[in-house]
Amino acid sequence: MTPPGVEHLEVVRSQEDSPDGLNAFLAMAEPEASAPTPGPLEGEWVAVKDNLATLELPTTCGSRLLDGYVSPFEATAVRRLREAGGRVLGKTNMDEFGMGSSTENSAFGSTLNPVDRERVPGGSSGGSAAAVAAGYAPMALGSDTGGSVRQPAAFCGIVGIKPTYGRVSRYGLVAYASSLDQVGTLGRTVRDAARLLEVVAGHDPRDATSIEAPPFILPELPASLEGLRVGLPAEYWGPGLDGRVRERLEAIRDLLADAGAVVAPISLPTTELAIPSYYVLAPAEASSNLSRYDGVRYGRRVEAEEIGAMVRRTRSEGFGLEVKRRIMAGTFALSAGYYDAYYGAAQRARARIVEDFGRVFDSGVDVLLTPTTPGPAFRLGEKVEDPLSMYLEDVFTVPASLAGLPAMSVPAGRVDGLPIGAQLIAPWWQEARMVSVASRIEQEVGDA
Amino acid sequence: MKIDPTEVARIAALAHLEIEPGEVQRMAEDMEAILGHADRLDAGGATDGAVGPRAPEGADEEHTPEGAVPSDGVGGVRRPGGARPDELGAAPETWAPKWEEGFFVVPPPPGVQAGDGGGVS
Repeated sequence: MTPPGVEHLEVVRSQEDSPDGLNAFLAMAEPEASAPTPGPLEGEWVAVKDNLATLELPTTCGSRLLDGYVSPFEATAVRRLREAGGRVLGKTNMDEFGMGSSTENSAFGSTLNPVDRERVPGGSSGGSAAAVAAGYAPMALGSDTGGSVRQPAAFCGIVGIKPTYGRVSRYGLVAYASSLDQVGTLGRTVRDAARLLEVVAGHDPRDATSIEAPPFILPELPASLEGLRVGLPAEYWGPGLDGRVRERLEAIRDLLADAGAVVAPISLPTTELAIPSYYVLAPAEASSNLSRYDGVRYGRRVEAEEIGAMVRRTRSEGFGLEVKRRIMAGTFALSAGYYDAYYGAAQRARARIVEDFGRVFDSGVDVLLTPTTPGPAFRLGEKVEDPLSMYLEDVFTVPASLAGLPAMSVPAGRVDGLPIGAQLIAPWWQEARMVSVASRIEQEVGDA
Repeated sequence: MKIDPTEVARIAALAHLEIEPGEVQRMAEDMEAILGHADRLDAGGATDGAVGPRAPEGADEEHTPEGAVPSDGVGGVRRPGGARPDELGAAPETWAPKWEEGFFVVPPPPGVQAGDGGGVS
């Protein structure tokens, strides 16, 4: 008897092995002998980003340093999806340790955007987004530190949800910047992404930053938007925005108003602090988190005559350029004499950003509508030599990450045949409200 | 912020990385660009305090970490409520259970007598 799901696995494997492959997976599952567990995801395939620990498949984080590494434990999010009947299709390609916005920083080659193979799928969860957009799986797990679920979702024309920080356990998620990292979900539809979130969310005593919050329950979709107050942050709709993206977003704004929502401009003046703050804090945390890769405890080791040289060579040969760049910048920001000017200033800016969002939501705004990215997917290689230009791709996604707010990207139509996303940002713990609005946008926009 | 090759070498040593001679100049330029952008941070008027999402209504206090609750409700992965001093911001001798000559005093490991110089019994 053919094990369940083997046909689908073979189809995906053969597609990925062909010249038309997207390089979406770093490892694929073997057929399971047993029937899937009964549950809300019974028998459904889920692609899993390669920074979430799995027992059967390697967890490399897209890094040569962890090539072939198999975790002795399983991430809580992965365990929960399996216990709900979901089946792991494979581990998806990503920017090394989550550092990137294009999946070009993987040690195992770039992933291609299934919409246009000359363009990036976004990142760092580019493999998960490409797998869903290509129809390999209806949903996927990713992780979002500064936009790594929402930006690839926008570039690939699918839905990506970053929940409130603390909503999903980070146990088994390989740390990049711990105060920002959050497991997120991607889906072909709002319902799929939200269903997966419903399954993986919930308090976990194994993660000290996991919070005992009221559960996320998938709302009745589509919900009424009558009287809903939608804020349009002026700073996100400024001159840096591609005019074609602006047009699409204005259409979304109008359709929400037609559906009964009260749409009004608001201001988040600290938005300009978000990128400089993020690109100090995330590298600073990375420089600390990645110090564990020393050739002793995990993965690859490059031998040398003395231990200090062994550690340096292991790290220098194991990490790619972008990871080294961020470790260097982070180490500098934390070093004596510069700590307050960089790390301290970035933390103070972050506090102001949190205050800014709090003020807006306290004033009665229910949800914010912004573009997810300044423009559609860029070409492979276009920004890889210019790190700052790549970082600025995250300009609209980073603020919600710094504030720990739930945010999601939903398809907002196309520009020159390329998908773009609308971002919704909700108050802390209000994912259900955000999903309801996204569902209405999805219903109206379709696959425009 | 000017980053020169000497500074790159200093930071690389702290980070346990070897930067190839041919990569030093590029690393210096990249760091300069990143840190130059960070120089835009306006330290003036910034507030101090912990940051993060607000605690949900009805949060289970048993699972929320102690401390670091800002008084204005701005953030805190953490339960709402009044401000609490940050214990770790104070000198350790004021809060450590036992502190002698600049060190934490902890119970000896199993099999070791207190004050015997660490010999195994």
